Amino acid sequence: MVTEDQTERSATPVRPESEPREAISGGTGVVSLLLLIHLACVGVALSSNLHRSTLQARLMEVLQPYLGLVNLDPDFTPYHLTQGQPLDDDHFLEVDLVTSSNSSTAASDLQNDRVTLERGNRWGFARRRYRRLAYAIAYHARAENDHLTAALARAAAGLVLEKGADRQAIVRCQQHESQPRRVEDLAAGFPENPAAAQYHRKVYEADVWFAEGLLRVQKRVTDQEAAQLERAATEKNQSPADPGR
Amino acid sequence: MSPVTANYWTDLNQRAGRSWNRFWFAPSDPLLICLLRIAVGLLSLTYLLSFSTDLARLFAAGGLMSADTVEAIRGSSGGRGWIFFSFLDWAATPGALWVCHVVGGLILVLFTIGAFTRITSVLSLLVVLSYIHRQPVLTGPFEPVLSMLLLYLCLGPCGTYLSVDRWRAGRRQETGKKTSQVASCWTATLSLRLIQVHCVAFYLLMGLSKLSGEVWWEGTAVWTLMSQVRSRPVDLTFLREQGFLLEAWTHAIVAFELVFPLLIWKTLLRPLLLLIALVMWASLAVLTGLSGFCLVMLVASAAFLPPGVCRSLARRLPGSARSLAAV
Repeated sequence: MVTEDQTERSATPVRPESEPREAISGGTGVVSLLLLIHLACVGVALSSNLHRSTLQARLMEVLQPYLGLVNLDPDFTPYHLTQGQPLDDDHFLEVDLVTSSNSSTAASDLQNDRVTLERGNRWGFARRRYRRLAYAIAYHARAENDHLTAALARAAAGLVLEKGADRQAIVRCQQHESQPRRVEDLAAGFPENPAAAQYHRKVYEADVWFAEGLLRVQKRVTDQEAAQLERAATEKNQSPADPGR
Repeated sequence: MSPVTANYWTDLNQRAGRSWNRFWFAPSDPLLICLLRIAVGLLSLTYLLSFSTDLARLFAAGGLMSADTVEAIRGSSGGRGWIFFSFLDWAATPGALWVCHVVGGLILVLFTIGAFTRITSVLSLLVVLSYIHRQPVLTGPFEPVLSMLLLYLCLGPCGTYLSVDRWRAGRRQETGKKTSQVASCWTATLSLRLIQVHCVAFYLLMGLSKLSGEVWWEGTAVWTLMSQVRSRPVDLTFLREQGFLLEAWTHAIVAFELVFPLLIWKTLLRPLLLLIALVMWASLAVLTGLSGFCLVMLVASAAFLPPGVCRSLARRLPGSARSLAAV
């Protein structure tokens, strides 16, 4: 609760009464009403950023025209920075270019035709955008929103594929897993170098190619499906899939 | 209803009304929002310029965020497509994109230097919103805060000081033409209060959302951020053996974000809290690489700067002596 004393000190000094003051008159009531409505909208938007009740979801539907128009709805943006979940790890996009007749080329043979979609320095906005793109694909892949992942994969491949060329692209979203703080907690098979390829986990993969002038997308096996296959295989081999947390 | 109860409700109503009017409508000097105008303008300009190297790659036909891709992402908008307007939608070719980009940049420059501020403030908001709406999955925590600042600066006279508008007003005065006196006004207070309240709400959001995650309770969140190989701008993993330090750092971030909304309203504590905020946001920028977000939160927090500090800061700016002669 702001006290009278605090208010007078917190605002910058008021000019002497002899100088003209802007009249407020009866408009204060209208402005106050608009203020209350605006603050209520902002309150609903911010309070429903992380989790959303049915009531909040309904309110957000109603308020979306205003909040969306002026971008006051954070829309599940992770202001918590991290929750230590797999989705909070760094994700990055790779696009491999293969000739259409040789789409089953092994990953090891694709290094020279591999494009990693990252740009700019680590402090800048540009690099953050590509990280957000990879995050978006990872998020929707985990939620199995195939139409959204397909749209984003198509867009990513469209940057490097040339129309008419006898090539297709494999778009891959990888999670770069992080190390535990204590090195002794590191699982077997994971080196001390945190940049090693063993820390890459495939989250989404799709083939993209031109057909009749349009880009087509065919999703490959996802991380969850691969984990199920791995689980079946590792029952015999007992190899871990997590570097440890 | 008994007289005591009736008096209580009457007294409550009157006091609440007076406090509300004092908080939102007491006239104040617009110097602080003029300083915020410069900072927000520079941030917006930096944001816009960051698209320059990737403009066609992002927004041209066949680009990452082409009109078709954005439509596919947003899905059926049910007649609400006008909400996510963007003047970039008018640019059919890369050349037209660049024209829009340059015009947008010029508008932001004019806003930053305080030229025709009443108009350029609104146009600046529209320019920034156009870029935000055109990249729906590429935005992060930075954009909502910047939008908030631009929106609220439109409400107040943020071109009163340290601006081309002020210079022009001074010239009119010298030539004997009638000019309005610089006066405190309630719109300056309204603009500033909205920024303050919204900024505090963001701090509360950040603090409370962290509490829903174990890593922030267990003190491992800072290490989790530090160990992100691809995004961290500085490698601080040499601190991995300093378990207590990392845990204290984690707890301090959460504690500050929860305490700031409560204590910032005490004017005596503001300089201290703002200093801590500076340290905290600088440390988060080093940890996460989210330099834009940390900067914009610092600018939003600057809405609580004491008046003396504002005047001191303003006097350091080039050409400010004339602009601030009446302060």
